[in-house]
Amino acid sequence: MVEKYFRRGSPLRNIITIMIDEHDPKKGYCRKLGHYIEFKYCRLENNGIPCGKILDCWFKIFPVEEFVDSNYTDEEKMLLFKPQAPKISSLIELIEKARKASKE
Amino acid sequence: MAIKVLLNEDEIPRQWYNIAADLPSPMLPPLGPDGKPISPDMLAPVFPMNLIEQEVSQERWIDIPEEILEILYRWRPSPLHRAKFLEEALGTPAKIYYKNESVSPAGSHKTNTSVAQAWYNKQFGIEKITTETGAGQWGSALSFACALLGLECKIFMVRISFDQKPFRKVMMQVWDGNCVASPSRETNAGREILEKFPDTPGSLGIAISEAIEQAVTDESGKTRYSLGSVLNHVLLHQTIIGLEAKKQLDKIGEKKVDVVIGCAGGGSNFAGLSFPFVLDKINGAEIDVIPVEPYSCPTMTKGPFAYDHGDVAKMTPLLPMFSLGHDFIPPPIHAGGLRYHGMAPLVSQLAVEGLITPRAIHQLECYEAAVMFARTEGIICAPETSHAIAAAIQEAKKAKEEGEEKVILFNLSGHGLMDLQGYSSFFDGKLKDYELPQEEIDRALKAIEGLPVPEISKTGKW
Repeated sequence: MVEKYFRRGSPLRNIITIMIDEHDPKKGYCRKLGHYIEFKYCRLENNGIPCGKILDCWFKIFPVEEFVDSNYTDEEKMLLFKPQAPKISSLIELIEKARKASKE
Repeated sequence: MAIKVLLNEDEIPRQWYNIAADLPSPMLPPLGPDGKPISPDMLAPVFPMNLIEQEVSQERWIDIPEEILEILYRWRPSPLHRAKFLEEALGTPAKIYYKNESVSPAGSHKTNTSVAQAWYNKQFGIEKITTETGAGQWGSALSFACALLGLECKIFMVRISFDQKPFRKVMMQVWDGNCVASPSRETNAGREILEKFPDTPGSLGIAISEAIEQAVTDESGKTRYSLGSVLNHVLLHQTIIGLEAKKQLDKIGEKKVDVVIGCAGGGSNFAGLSFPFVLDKINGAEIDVIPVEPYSCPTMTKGPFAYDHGDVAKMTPLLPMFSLGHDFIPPPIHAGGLRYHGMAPLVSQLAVEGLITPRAIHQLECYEAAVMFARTEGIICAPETSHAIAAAIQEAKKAKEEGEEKVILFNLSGHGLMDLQGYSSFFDGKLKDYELPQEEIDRALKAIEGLPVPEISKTGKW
């Protein structure tokens, strides 16, 4: 399932497949949630892709930038680290989404 | 010397202060993707109209209903403390005061708005309020409020927190909150995620989607959603903090405050203490008003005021805010929970005017300040609150150097008894300081070149 999140088109895809979960058991503090979690949670937090705060929370525990550079394309990184949307904007977006879903 | 300054219940402020009425320059409206302002009715599916009216109100003073005060009396007026022991440790001639919001039942300022929001929802005929929570701080504050008002409270708690962080969940249960693990099977959003990822530990994003969906799709129209930060009405409810502080200072004959300080995340606790003092500044008083943020992501201190998208795809509406640009990629830093891409629009506008002076402080200095505060005043503060303490200590040291007896006031927004991991990391030497290089900021700011630039409305008086 997680293969789709590996660097696309890389000849090292199989090696990366082994590498991408090597840090999963590590434990760190999640500032979004307010308690300790395993790295696996952060790696898959955003519907199967990493949390945008992954660098902030993990750099002091292992070379997480290197991990991100190794496993995600520049395009994916832009998606991963997009800033949090302003609250009022995201609320309106979610209202519309919920309305559409209830009509379907 | 008074160590604690208390007010009686009959001395509590009876109106909130709405700074929108006194902004020297008008606040820029949030814009949708089509470039048109977001209208209040677009929020009606999730908020009752009486709160939306407060969100857009231009009235300077808004009466606090007696029934809300009756609930607030349980811990309000909150004490104003003279930080005598911290002053002595610093050897400063400055007088340091702090408003102690950690005395609320849920342990922070959050209950000031959760009670008000629950009451207005009830007045509007709402019977159930939904929200999301991680470890449970906001969920517990809202559960508390709903319990006292006889409202049903539904909290979508991120699954991993639900499983691993039981104590806040218990707090919610004690206050009769219906806390479910998110994603749940109660919503389309939850079911959709569970189909794709049956073992998902959830996320705050999913939990918000579930809470919104349940409010929007309740055909009875008796359910709404509640938010604990950022929005104007939330900041309004918090102004009781600063209004009380003014009365307390007056009570002990403290006629002039020189510096007012609050930590600035979404902006609500900073706004709560400072807005009533900003009013004095608008009317001519000389006061330094300082929102404090982590040095690591200086959104307000170095970013320009511009319209900015909330996402890289530029699909979300444009909002006027301090920003480092929509493609800003944060460097590897730990910032203690205060990092936001943008600040509350009201706070941003005050910074544009020069009425407030944002300051950024390194995290190590913040933890050192928090520990010094705990070892002198006794209270173990929340990690976010440590930023305000650090700024107060900076000001007290400056006063010592200059030999001035300044009056410094800051907001002790919450205790840290349920969030001690940061202290543990500090003592273990695991925290690092990071300053965003200017070239990195310059690079990020290039990304917002070409976006609609708001007309900066600024009087130039401050």
